[in-house]
Amino acid sequence: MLSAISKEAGIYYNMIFSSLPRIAKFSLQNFFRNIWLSIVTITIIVLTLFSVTSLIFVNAIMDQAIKLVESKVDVSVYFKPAATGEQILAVQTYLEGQSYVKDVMYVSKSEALAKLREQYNDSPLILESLKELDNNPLGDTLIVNTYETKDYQKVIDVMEATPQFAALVDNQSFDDNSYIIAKLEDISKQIFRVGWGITIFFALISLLVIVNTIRIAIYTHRDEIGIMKLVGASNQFVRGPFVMEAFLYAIIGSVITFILAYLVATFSDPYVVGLLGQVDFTLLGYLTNNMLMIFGGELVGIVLISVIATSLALRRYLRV
Amino acid sequence: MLQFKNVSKIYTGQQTALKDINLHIEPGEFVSIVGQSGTGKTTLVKMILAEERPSSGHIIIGGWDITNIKQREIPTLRKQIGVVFQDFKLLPRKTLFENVAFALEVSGEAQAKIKEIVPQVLRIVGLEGKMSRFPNQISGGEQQRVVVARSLAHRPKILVADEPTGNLDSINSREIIELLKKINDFGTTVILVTHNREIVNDLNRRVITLEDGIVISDKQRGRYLL
Repeated sequence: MLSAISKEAGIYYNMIFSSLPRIAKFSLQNFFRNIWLSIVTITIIVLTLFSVTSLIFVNAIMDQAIKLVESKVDVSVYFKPAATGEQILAVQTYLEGQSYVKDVMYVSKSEALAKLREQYNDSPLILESLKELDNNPLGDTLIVNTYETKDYQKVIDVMEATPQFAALVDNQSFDDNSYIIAKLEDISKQIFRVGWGITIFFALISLLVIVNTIRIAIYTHRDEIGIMKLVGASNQFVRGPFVMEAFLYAIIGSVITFILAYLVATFSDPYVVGLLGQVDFTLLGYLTNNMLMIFGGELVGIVLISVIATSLALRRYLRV
Repeated sequence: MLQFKNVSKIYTGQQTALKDINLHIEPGEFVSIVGQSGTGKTTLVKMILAEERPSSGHIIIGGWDITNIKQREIPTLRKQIGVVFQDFKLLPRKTLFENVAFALEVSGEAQAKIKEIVPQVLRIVGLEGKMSRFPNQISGGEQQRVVVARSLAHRPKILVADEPTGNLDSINSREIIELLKKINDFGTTVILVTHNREIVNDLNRRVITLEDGIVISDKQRGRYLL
């Protein structure tokens, strides 16, 4: 017996080097010989990851939709008809010099009138009223865009606070817009919260589903685990193939989700572009730019969940 | 080779499975342990395999006191004891070749050696032509022969057979006992746990009789007493 023990020690190094390929071989055997269980587990992983990816897509589209609406908001500074071209140019130059101002567009009083006529083409009453007037009642206008919606108030403040500018200004049309902007920001925050809330909720459900799927898979092999132990397999040797199998499920599940997400993004892009219009955004582009973050995160998460769940589920059956 | 010194096993709930057992089995012996159901035979086997620990006393195998064996040392012990179970305990998702090979793979045996040994032991049990079949594709008697082959693969010094004929008809039972005798002839110590009167009487070897967890008889050329 003692000589047998020394033989054991002698083959210890051989065991270390031969274990890994054997563990890999056993895990592949288990995977293919129990193909239905493998397919079911992978399907659940794909469904889980795909629901998380879908929520990321929805969040990204909502984000773009909000940006689009925000880009449509501007502040119009209406000048009194008496304001001269030089005075208006001075205001425009001043505003363009501000760091928070993206661009300033000048609309002359004749252009404003033409635009008004075009806008109310279907309202004969308004068009008739305009005809009745001898002179153009409208003044020149500056349309100001800022980088951030919160900076529109700054434009209004600076116009009001500078006496030489305030004397020229007839009206500023930011008040209505400020309400829209405030509402938009509010909706945006709510969508962000709800979106991530749903994502976390889904992730928790997925976690439970995956952990239970793996537990059932291990449970079906409990007798096998006992036999392995009784013929002298160490815990590591028994655990290895199961953990590697879980790793395999996670990798294959992630790759399928990745392909599926790309297909969905490609086929959805015409609709997304139709929805968002001129915004330079496609799901495919978003996916490509954030590939590492989305799929890297999902892969790491699912591998960790699968491997930890497998190790925990195995623990009780290894006590033989 | 194997010693039980004042070994008792009391399960939780004060149920005594074994009481003050003293045994000494020499290398190369063929020993039958007999007794009716619930007399502690299986507990004794479980203690040899370190599946159970004694509540008191000492178990020594080949000079190694395994009474308080560490968890990480158990695989080392089990790799040196061949075991044949009543319910076969074959791995269902592995072929007969892979089942036998597994016992060697867990010991870190080289692949070339495995390819050499496995067909040899399967030939000894007469299954060399069915190596690529799965356990559910062969009969109960054949499954038990695979288990014997597996237990032989790493050339154990001790072979423990726990009711190996319990699930077999008389013809298959005889074949298994003949195999065990052959293994014993090669020098392996065989411990046969059984309650099959006919087999024990035919063997005409050492018989240890258990009753209510106590050794009531230990005869060198014994017969089934109960």
